[in-house]
Amino acid sequence: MSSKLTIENLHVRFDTGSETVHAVNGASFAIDPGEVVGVIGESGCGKSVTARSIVRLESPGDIVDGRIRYGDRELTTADDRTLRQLRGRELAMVFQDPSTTLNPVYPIGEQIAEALRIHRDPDRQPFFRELTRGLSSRLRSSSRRSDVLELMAAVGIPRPAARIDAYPHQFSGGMRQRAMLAVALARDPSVLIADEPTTALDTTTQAAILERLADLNADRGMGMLVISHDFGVVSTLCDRIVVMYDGVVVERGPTDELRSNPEHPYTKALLGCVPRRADSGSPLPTVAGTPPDTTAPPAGCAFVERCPFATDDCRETPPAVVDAGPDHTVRCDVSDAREASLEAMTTETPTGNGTGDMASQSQQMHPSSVAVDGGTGDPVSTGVAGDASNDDHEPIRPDEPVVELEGVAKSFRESDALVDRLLGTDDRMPAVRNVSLELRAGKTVGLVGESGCGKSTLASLVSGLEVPDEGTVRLRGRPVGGVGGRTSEQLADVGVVFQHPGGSLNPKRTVAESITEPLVEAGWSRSRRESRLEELCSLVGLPDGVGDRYPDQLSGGQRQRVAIARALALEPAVLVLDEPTAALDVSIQATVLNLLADLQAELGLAYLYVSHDLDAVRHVADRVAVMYCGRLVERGPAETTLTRPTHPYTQTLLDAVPGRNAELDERTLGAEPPSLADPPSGCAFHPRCPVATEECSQIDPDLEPTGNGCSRCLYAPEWRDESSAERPVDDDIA
Amino acid sequence: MLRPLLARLGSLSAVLVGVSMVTYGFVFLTPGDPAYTILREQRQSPPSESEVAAFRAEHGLDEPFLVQYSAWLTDALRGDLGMSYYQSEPVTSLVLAHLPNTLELALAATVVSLLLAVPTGVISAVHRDTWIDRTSQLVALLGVSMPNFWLGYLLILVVSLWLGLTPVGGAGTLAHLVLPAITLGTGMAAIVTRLVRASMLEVLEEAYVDTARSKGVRERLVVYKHALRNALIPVVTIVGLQFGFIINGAVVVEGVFQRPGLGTLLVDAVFARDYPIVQGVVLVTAVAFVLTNQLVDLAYVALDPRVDRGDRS
Amino acid sequence: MAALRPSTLVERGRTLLASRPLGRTNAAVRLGGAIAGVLVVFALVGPSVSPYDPTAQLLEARLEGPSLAHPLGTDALGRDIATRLAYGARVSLALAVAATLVRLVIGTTVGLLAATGGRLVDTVLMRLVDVQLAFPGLVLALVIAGVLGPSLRNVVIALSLVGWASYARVVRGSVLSIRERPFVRSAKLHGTPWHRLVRRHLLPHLVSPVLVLATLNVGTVVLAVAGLSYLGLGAQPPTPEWGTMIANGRNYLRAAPWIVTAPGVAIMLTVISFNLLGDGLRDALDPDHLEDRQRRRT
Repeated sequence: MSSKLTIENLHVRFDTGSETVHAVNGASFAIDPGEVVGVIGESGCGKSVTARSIVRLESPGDIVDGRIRYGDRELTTADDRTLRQLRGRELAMVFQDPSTTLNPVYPIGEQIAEALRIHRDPDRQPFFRELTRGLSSRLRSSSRRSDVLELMAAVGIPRPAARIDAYPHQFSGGMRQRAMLAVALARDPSVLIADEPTTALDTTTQAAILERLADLNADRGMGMLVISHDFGVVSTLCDRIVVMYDGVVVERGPTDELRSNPEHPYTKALLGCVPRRADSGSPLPTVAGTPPDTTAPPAGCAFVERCPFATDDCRETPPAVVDAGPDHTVRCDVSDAREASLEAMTTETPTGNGTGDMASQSQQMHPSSVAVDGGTGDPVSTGVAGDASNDDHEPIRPDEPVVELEGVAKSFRESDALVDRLLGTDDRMPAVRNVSLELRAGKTVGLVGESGCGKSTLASLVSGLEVPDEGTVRLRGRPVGGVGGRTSEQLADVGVVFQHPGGSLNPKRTVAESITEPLVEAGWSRSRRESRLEELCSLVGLPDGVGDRYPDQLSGGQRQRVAIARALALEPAVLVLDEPTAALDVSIQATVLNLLADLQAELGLAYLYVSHDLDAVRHVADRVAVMYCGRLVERGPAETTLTRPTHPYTQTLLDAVPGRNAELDERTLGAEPPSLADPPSGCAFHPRCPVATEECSQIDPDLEPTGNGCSRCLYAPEWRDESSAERPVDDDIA
Repeated sequence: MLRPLLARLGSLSAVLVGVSMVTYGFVFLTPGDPAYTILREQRQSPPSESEVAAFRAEHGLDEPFLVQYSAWLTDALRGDLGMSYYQSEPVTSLVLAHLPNTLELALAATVVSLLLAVPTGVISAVHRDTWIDRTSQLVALLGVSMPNFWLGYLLILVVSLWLGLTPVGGAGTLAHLVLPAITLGTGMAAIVTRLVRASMLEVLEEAYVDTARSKGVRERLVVYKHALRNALIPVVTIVGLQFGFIINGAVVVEGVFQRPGLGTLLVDAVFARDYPIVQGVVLVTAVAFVLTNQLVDLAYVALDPRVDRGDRS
Repeated sequence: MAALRPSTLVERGRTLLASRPLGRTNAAVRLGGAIAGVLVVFALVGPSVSPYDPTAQLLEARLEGPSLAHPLGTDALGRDIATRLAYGARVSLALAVAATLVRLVIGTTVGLLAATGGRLVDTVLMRLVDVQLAFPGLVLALVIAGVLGPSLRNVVIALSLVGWASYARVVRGSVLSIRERPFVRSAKLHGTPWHRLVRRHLLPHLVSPVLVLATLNVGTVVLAVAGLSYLGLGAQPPTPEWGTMIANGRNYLRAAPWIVTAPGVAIMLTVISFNLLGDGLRDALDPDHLEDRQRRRT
């Protein structure tokens, strides 16, 4: 029944009316029965479009050339009936964002049952009977019900009987993705296509889903195509990896081979940028130049502009596909490039002035270009210090923290309705409970935890966007309130960079207006603003002339540089960085992280770096604070905390990092983070904790010193030694 | 369950009190002394001092506003909307006598427009940017742009006068209902068509529609089971609001077709300054409108499981 | 050198337009604009070009069909319909624009106050909006105009009093959603006082939704003015007004159908043009919508 799936020379285009977007420009690869293949590449490389084209959901794009074969069937020309037979039964698909992929008006059970009904006979879908299904929330047929329950259990939904009639909005993200998986598996597909299946999820949930996928693959012997931007995710699951760049497959080969011996310059660059490879503190390798745009593909190699080994020949003629070993092919015929080391690839990239030239050059080439990350490499840093020795600010004594949080707590009203206040049903949900933390000049505190743990609220308490209900926030030793209650010097002392660079810039204001907004508020004169603007632009590595542009004319990386420049405008002592790279591709992330490191070294800034990405945190942070359920569960030096944690929760987070291949406890994976409104008794983590005892459900531990950090665990640090026999410490992170 | 109900009742009663105040209060917008103006228009000559005083006393217009208003409201709550100034009949029975014709017309128009609009909107969205879509869009644009009284006359001219198929005016039989229902339903149909189309276009872009396709669901079910059910959610609100549109239209269309109804009753009373009737009709329509929208909100809960069930996670 | 250039409105408009392909939507704006332009020219130039008096009765020329002398025929009092249409266009357009502007000002102010003035102000104002929306618009306008007495001025007052609530809702909703966007939070961090916050970050984002609403609204008001006049509450005879003209022609449906037809078509064209303009503007000014579509493609 299973057949080979072959994609040959696939071309997909989108016609947007004003321009033609070349999304896929000749992708070719194959999936053998039962094989797991990963497609990796950065945003815009055409990997998702390729995946969707296989099940013929490429619309609104058009397949303009190439073939997709499944067994002896040609899919690019298949009619609706053939597609109906194939979809779900042979080729099933799981999409990226589980918050939008399930129909909100039908119960989960019905959506799984529908897939089962179609499984029986795809050609017979009685219109009116189908139309009336799911109108009531209960799934009626009892035999169907047991099938659905079985599937829900198979994908790891706990207590399926209690959840079968629930609606998608009553599920968490991870549960929805499991439900989506159940829908996809309902018809026992031969190939499962998973398009960024875990990107929208927390790392712990991601780890659980990945493990489930691996198990399902083993149990059912189905083939899988996994699309991801994350090398860790792909290497966890896949037998073979396909690397895409600008709509073309540039390299493909077995996972281990590709990981140990990447040949294509782009693959090397991609692997080199990942923070976990680099020593913390050292600058991350970066890829020079600009990501490809979506206009017509170049005549030669698509990567030529960014490749240090490019020859004139590369520019003009399409590179040949070269065999690099058994089942390993590379689309690059320059042997120097293929043989160069990872380090050579990334350290030999042009930096400094070279990039500046590259950036301005590329702007001349694309006058209205939308996606140019001009800034890479070292920011120009000379001549800034002149103004930076700010007279307004008192010098910070080295022994005194710049920011000090002492026992801060913040809760939010669950409902804002008048009637709730009258009835006294005005429940409050604690987001941050009794947190103490210090930020010191020139040092970075990494704040980690799953989404909803309160880390962003804590960041808002530092920046003054929220005022604590209890406890004190001190800035340079003085207690401060919210934004409204801070003096202008105090406001100037804290800069904030938000997660989504697009959202944090007013789309109707130019870059220059956005960057200088704090200066206007501080009452700077126009000429002083202009010179400061120039300094800031060169400080963060923004190309000349960018000031007159609007945010939607910039790439993601450039926007984040603008946001950083604005945060730095008044020479703050502290930067609050709320997931500053979460929305960026790895290669762009690397340049932004390097920029932040350089700025800190130069300006002596204190950073509060909020992130769910432990690799990035390990790379940038001096100290780490781990949050769970509104409280700190562990605090300590980054190096030791993230290698030998004293709290089981931190260990769980570490084990969940994709690519670590750590064994995860069933208890941890099945459970979701508890609700903040109603935290579990005793230690909040005990329901998920692999080493929890009876006592843990009764005693709420304090944050006690252990070694050179603090831990909120009854058994810290002994649990680690007791369980280390079966849980080897994964010190080898590379 | 109790909390949303209480919140809803609270805001509902606030709105109804406001509505009744406005309804009663507009009498005082009358330039000069209402009693004087009313009598002058009634007699076509300036009334005497004592006649004005007698009129005021008879209709309680000599009391302060709040006293008058609370007396009127208390009566209204008991179902007594006062006496007409000119016809010696209670307003309540006048309203009740005219209500069935208007209700009949409103229902017929709503049915006509929904039957026309929903399929057209869906087909238009599914065949986006084809000639089917363009034609239906154009027709819908004409539909919203036509003054309904004018459309009424065109229909009378063609269907009644030239073709002789229906009576020119009056009420009572189905033949009397056809043209007014079409006249009134056209504008609403045009609006609903555009809304269904826009809503469908949005929903068809949703990821869960692709999920359904990737399951192998056939296209017709993808459209009508997975997309339309979601697309109708915003449409339901508008259909509720359209009830107001229907009442607006009835005021004019009933006149065009000389149908006795709340609309004609209201227009005549406005010109005669027969304020008790005006207040009565306005209060009834506004209350009906508010209550319809409450019903629509309830329908919303039935259609959209995400709303108001208090079990968000 | 990224200098702070004085960014004029024109410059900014050009940049914004350049960054967003208007594409097909442009056609709607152009067609709507063209029809509206023709109507405006008709209203401005028509009366001075026409040899006829719009109100003088000429009984020997009554109920004449369309001819070279009277391209749209004459009415029951022998008045040239084309001439009366041109005068009527002035009335309709002026009234519609006036009532729309008043609605816009009241509604935007109420919406802004509700969104920025604290919970009590918000609750009170939004209840007021609910009360206004609880009345079918034309019914309330009819009653207000009737009580005030039939006249065009009173029609404008009545239509202004009943139509502002939707602006208030749109403005309040937009402000509430924009206020949560990170760039506003970021501005708060710099200690931007609220009036500058409103001017710099909120108002620019309100221009498009309010402009679109107002454009579509002009059409609705044209219809309402015609409706009220048709009922006898607006323009009083012999003032030429489209709704009144239809009312005058209703008794001659069979004998002189052109009397009713011409003003109806005029009303329709006016409403169509503003609908096209409004829809086109919405597509052109709603970058989020376009971005969404773009994003889905990759």
